[in-house]
Amino acid sequence: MTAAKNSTTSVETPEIVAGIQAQDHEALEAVVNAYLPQIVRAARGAGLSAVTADDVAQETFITFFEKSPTFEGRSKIRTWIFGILYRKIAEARRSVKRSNEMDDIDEIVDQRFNADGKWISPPRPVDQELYESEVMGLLDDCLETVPDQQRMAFVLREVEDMETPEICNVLDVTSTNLGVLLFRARNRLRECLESKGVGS
Amino acid sequence: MTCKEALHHVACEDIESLSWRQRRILKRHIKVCPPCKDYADQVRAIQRIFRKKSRGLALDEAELKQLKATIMECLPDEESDGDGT
Repeated sequence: MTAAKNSTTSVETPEIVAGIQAQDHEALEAVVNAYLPQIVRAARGAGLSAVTADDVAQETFITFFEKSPTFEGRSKIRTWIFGILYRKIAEARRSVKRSNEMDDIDEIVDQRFNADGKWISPPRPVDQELYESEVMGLLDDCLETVPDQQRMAFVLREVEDMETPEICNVLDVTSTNLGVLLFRARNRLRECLESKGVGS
Repeated sequence: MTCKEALHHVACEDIESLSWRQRRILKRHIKVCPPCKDYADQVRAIQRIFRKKSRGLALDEAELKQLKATIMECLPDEESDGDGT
């Protein structure tokens, strides 16, 4: 992870920013080299198929190339590109007509506590090894139940190790909202896995 | 601190915003409350598994090279010189 971080921070320089603004091919290529693996991984982690993830990564960089003269360098290059990626993922999702209107996770979580905030229905203790092997297989189905924004917040935090302010910039949410997104993503995954019998 | 509040802090990841005293209360609560400890363990396990799974989604070298080549074909035209001609 440290090596990956080093290779990406090396493009976060004023010279590269100036190169991006001037649409210098070397600067643009350096950015592609630094962030392409992360962008594809995040797109796949967000639940897109391998083919769609590749398409979305390509579209993200095409937009990046087109908009590069307008990049002002006020955010990190990475934040800007992930912001583009986030919108491209939303577009890709919309095109396959996915709806996630109601968020019932808050209600499900509430039902597990009494008026004093004590557990009515406590989580089941788990055997760690069994848990890992079982969960790995069931996680895909459960990830499908996590709405896009929550899932993206979870991907950026857990896979890309982004800090709160950067995720907030990418998703255009406040830190309080981000907490709610992470809260819901984690609880939705946990509730879903438990409903599939994991931990029982 | 109630169990519900403890769960909220763990899942929201707002521990940094808590005062030193609140953090100590949260830690102590989780330590002495078996269901809350189970919950925190499960959340951590899911995060770890998700990380492992997602990192396994990375492209291999050949796939990466191919995709990069496709992307680089979309680079904007380079100007002939710096004066816009």
